[in-house]
Amino acid sequence: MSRVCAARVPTGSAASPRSAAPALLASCALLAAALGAGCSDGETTTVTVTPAMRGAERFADPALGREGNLVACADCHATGADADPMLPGAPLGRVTERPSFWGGQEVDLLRSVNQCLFWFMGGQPLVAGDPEGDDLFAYLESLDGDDALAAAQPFTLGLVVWPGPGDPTRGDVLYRDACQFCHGAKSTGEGALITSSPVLPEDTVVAHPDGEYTAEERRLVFVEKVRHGPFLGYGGSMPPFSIEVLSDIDLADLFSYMEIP
Amino acid sequence: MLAASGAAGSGCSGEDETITEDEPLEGDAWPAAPRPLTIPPQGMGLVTNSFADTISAVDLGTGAVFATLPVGRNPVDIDGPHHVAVDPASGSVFVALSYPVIGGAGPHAGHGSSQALGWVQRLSLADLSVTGQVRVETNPGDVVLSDDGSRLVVSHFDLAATTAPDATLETARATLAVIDPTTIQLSGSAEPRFVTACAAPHGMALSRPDGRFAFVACYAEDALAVVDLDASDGAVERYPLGAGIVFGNVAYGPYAASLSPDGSRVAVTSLVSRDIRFFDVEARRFEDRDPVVLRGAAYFPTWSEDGATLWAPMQSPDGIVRVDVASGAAEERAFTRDDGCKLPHEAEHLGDGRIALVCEGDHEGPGSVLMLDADSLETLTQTEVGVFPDSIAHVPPAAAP
Repeated sequence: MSRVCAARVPTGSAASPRSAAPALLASCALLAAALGAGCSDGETTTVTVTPAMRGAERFADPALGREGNLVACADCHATGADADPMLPGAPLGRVTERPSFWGGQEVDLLRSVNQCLFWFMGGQPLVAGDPEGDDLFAYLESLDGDDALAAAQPFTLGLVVWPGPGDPTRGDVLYRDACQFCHGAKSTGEGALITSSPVLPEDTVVAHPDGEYTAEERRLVFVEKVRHGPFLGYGGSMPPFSIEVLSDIDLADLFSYMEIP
Repeated sequence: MLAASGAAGSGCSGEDETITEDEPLEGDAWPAAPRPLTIPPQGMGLVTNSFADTISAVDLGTGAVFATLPVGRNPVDIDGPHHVAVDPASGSVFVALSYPVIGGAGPHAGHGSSQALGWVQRLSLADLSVTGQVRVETNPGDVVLSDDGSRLVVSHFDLAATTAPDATLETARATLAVIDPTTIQLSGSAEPRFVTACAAPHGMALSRPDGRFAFVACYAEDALAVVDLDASDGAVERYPLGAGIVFGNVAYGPYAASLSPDGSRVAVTSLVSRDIRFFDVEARRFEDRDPVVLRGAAYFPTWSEDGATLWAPMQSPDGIVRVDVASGAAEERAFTRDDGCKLPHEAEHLGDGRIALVCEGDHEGPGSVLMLDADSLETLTQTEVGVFPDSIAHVPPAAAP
């Protein structure tokens, strides 16, 4: 006697993107265990692992990037319509239906994904036909969402201008939602995923000393980094946060909380 | 790979077995983006939008944009697609990426991006997908292809080298990149051959059909350079536009060079002296005649098929002039604010009684492409393109790959 577990990856929401995919994969194994718990001798259970399931594992795996990379696709992208608004990457439900990506600067999904791999994860580009990459596509194709997610997602980076004073209390919340996962706690870095990332704001201030930067330029460095990430001459691997994710008002609140001098 | 769940019959006398099977992917992953460029019946113009990182495809029948596609290597930085050349025979489009410094981008952008090396990308004429790329030097200025498609040449408009505190004429001279288009790969392309040409080389024309000689407008040297690209050391002859030229004090500012259809003369347009001069190719000297003086800075011109007429855009004031080459008589149409053409940059004779004119716009909002009646210079159509358009390549309908 045999049973088959052809588990499919559910679609829609994913409250904790990074943990979602492995949980889905584990479900089949648990199902197999449960089926086997009846003690009927000699039963064989076949677990069918779909491409989307394998792709889900890749989606949550930092190993898709270079050796030592610590971030996964799931750290920056939600998969459903109820996306965490503080994640820098666009939500990926129905992403395979979109006409363009990166604010219209890419029209090929594979090229778009490879831009992420190159800039944020240091990985080698995926090539169509490569099984691992193809599985990732299958996972992306499995992600559902409303019609708005099938359209090109806005990605406006804006100019680098100092936003002025804001609300530090609100900024505290924003910091925990948008910054703390990678940078750790303000001024200590405690709990940072990426231990090499600067402790905010002190490390960034020290890295831009008087004599090389004016006080105004130093403040703008924070805006520049949030808005442009590694691009436009800065470097590093931090993804940029668009105006749609963090508004200029959000930045004002965030920087007030961070007490940027 | 997923871990197999293994035996799951704990506590039972028999051995239960769990087998993990990988289901293969059905169908193709990563389908190509559905963006084919169907060349309209009357051909199309490909326009580089240098501050928008896009190419606009203009239907030359209607004069309207029918597709706009992104180009470049980087999804955030301004790649600065700057000038474009098309090889219909191989179905290729060549675009130079210049990485200009953009104001308002932050302290690091101001310090760094002006030093970014340029690239040339080869795109498929069918859909503008990237088919190859090769690195060139900083500030690529013009990209031209020989008529036979065998030689691609890129100038480097390196103004920074001409204004450095310790610059001399020798240190200021920048190169041309000479590229065999067939050697351009998606990655790992061989380095081009670099030939030192002159100070701030910009607009170019190549001799026909194989592009052995490059005629180069040398902005900061006030000269036209003629470069023998077959010579192993890149033999260069430089012909000054006038007397008393002093390096560091641009008096003419030649910006573009355009070869007449019969290959006998080169029209050299200048920004500072605001004029057009004609270079005799066979005699290797500027023609002994007065320049055609415009009211504005002269940009990229275009010839009539018989070589009797030249159309040249001009800026400050904005307009276009039609020049009778034999007599030097010029007729001007000036553009007002309502004419839809701010800062005209390049003209292209379409061979059907019309001129396509690329207008930069204000460099923040859309530019435009006007179709003008070649005789009356009246506007026939007008269409918006991307930010800071700077060139147009004419793709005839027969070029459909």
